[in-house]
Amino acid sequence: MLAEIGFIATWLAIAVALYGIVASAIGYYRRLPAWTVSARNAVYIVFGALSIAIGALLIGLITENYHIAYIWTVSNPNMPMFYRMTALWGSQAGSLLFWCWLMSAFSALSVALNWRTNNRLMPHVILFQLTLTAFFTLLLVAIENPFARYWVAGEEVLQAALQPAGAVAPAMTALSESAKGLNPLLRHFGMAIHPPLLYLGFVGFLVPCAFAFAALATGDLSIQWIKASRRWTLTAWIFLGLGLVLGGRWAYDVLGWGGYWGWDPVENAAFLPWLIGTAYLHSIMIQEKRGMFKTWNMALMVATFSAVIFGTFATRSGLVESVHSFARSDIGFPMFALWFSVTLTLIGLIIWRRAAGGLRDDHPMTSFLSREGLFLLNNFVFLALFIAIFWGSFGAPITSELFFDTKITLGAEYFLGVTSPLFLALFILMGIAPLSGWGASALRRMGTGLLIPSTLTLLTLFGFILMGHTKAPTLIGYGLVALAGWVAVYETYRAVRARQTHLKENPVAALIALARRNPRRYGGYLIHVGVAVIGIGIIGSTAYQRETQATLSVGGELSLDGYTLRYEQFEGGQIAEDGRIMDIAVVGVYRDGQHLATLRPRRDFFPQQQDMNTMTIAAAHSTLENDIYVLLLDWDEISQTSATFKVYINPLINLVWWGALILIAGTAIGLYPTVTAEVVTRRVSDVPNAFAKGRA
Amino acid sequence: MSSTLDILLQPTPSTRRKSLSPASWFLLFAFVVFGLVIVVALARQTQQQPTSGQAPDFTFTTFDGQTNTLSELRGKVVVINFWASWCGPCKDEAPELQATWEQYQAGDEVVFLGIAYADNGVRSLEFLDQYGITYLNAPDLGTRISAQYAIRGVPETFIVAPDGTIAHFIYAGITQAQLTTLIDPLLAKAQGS
Amino acid sequence: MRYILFALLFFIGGLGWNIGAQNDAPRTVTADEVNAIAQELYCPVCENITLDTCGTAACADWRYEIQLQLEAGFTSEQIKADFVRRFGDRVVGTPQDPLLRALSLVTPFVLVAAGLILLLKWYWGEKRAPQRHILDTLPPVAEPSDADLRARIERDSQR
Repeated sequence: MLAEIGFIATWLAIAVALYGIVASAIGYYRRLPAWTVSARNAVYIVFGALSIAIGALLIGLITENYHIAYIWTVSNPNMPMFYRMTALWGSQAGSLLFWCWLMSAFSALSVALNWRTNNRLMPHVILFQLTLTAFFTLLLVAIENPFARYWVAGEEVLQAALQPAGAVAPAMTALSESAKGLNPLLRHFGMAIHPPLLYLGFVGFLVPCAFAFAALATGDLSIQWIKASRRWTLTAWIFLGLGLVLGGRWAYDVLGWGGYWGWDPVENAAFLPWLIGTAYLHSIMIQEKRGMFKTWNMALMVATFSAVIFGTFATRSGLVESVHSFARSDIGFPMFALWFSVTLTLIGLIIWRRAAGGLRDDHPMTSFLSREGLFLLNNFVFLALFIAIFWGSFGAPITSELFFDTKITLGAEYFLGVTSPLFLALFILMGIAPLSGWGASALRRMGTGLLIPSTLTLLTLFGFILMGHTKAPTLIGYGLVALAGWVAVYETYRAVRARQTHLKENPVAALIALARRNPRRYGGYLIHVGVAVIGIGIIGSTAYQRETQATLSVGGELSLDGYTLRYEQFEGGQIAEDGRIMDIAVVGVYRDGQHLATLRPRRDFFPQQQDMNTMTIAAAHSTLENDIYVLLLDWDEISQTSATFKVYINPLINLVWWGALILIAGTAIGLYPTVTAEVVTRRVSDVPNAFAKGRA
Repeated sequence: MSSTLDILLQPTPSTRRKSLSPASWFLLFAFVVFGLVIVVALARQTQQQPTSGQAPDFTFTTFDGQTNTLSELRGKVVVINFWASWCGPCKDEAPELQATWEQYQAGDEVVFLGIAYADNGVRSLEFLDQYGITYLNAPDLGTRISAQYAIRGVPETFIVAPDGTIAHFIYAGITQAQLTTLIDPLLAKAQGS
Repeated sequence: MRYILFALLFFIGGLGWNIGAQNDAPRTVTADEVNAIAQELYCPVCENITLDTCGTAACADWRYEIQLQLEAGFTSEQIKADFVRRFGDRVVGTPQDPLLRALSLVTPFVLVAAGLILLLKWYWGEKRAPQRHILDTLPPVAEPSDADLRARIERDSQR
């Protein structure tokens, strides 16, 4: 019953979406507003239908309906309720349905919020959003149907949406006993929310791109499309950023290779839209203040959304070799067709509008050191990063395989080597751009603005040297990153001092007032601080990571960098709630004789899974200074007296996670609506009328 | 008064649309080429193992040092078996393959060729010793042969007919009975023609 | 002359010392040394996993082979080159084949440099002959006389 409801709801969504596309086109090009209203209703109905579909799947998961093939694949009777629900996106079909539902939800919300204020752009916004929703949903139901059910016909087991002739539904008990259960790697809190966050980010970019399309199609190339979609872009950006950070955190906690970013092609494919999205968020400021960079902004938004679709295409199609190969399916060619046609259309529209003169700048550019000039360099560096990372993940491996018949891998060596100078250039720009002026920059003002932050940076560097981080390239890196952070802090401090002096406010009230008055600037400064903190964490944990591997017998010790680890005992064969068998080693961490922590690295075994059934879970002692990260690699099964450990020391790694929290705070401030001065209204009758008779 | 009406007296600008600049054409062209490259790469990545047509030719150097090519073995039925010492099902299949080889060895019409996938050290030789393998075996240096046959894992077996075309592809382990059922018809056809 | 002799002696001495090292009894190799090399190699049969973190039995075998090679006195470069010979260029983080290496490492720099040149060209073009911008003032036009204007309007309104 559930499967049928879901299946029909999905087809209904497709049909209504196709109708909506036609209706919005008629509404605009024939100038019949009633059709546009109908198209808007179509958007709402599509959202309703997909909500029913995803609700059906969710109910099926909760009520353990193993007839549905997808539910049988991703859950089993002894899974806790939390993972049962998050199994909704545990595999291809469910995650694609979730993606489609999010698309419809964002479409409905953006249309509802902008119907009155941006009515002229609505027909094309609806057209774009419904086209993409229809396409993805069609792909879903045709190739990766989440509502396919198991049927038994004689000896054979079939999978189909509708009951085949002569087949019956299999017995539920047989199904529930053999149900596969969620991939063990996904049974981690971080992994449960990493896909939704990423999808919120990816799909979030649908709305600003729809507005860009509408602007190009209608010819309204003013700031309107940007104003309407700026908050959407910022929200999508922070969700995507968090999704990336959480993915890294999960990899660090659960995958057991001591790191958090492997420069895997699929990871990079998710990083690319974030990079271009960041460039876009900066570049639109210039269009708002000076009416410049109109073509850049269009191109950046199109590039962001194109990168989103390319990313999901590359992940799900297996275009290049990647550790995320579990996401592979037959969806490759149709998705390529979608990506190619959408991107080509948008590029064509930009070229057309630019040739017709619609995207001309309002003002000329006068100097590279002006704010516009620095932002232009900013755009350029982000684009360079995009090219470098794309080349490493896709360009070079594909070119090498097609034209030279050789498979190659480009690893961390390549990426760190090529992107480090570019990231440092970004931090330099982050440091000086807040101090630059429109049209031209007074170098003297820039110089004085940099004085205090530079002093603070030198003190910070001194601190790093004391910590033992003395390699010259990293000190340069630390210096530039810290400078960018201190500039943001100092600019905020100066504004607070100004308010204190002139308005006699206390610092906290001043900060709050500043954030309310100009949330974008002070939110932006806080985001810069967050990014600087993350940058320092990345430099520290990448350049100064230490590791060692040793086999110890019970009571044995190993040392690394002043820390001593003692293997205390082995607790094997512990059975957890969900049926996994845990083999735990108890390790004590000491420094200068002082006991710091007792860690329990372990290996989990999932007896019900066929493959991917072991997980090596690291144990870590986290402080601001570093992480002591211990992995249990192997142990003597028979005597259980000796075990092999791998220990990593990751300096400053926790700055990466805490920097992300600062990033969230900054974005929250940046999203806050600007408080405009209240318009004072008075009733006309209260105003003394000099011409009124008989009044005093 | 006259300055505001000036605009009426200016000649209407020509409405002939400007043609696209060379840069725009280049951008569009580059994007189309880029799309083509991607789709060809995707086609290649999703390539399946060949199940018909001419068997891709390759050069191999056996563990004993003989160099040969597949095409030189034309005229005989060739059983190409991809294996590795670290692969469980390969261990089950090895005795079956050896027994089948011994069955056809005298007739000199069938050649067994084992290709060791990503396996070319001490362990490979130990494996061959352990199962008493006597037929031709070569390491796939650089995994080039495996790439040509687009294998997804090991063990996988291809049976090549005497005319050089692929007659059968078996994905997974194989038994002596299965092999003889597949090889005998090919021999009969070769003799009959 | 003295310097050449000295250099020659140094070189021969170095060679002798190197050969001597090869013929020494196998030294104990620590897991850290194996991992240092394995970190720079990729598992030949997995997708994009480095050899030191790969948990399969096959990877453990390959790490064992590296250990044997280290004990036999091979250098890190020799071990990596041998691995590439056996498994192809995809087992190292940057290809060893010079052409592919250039393709991989040089191309992004070339593209970025090309982009930078385009950017500068545009900027200098702007400086020399700036494009018409929307908020620039329009160029002046010759004013006709009032009589002309009146005549035209009367003519047009009679159509």
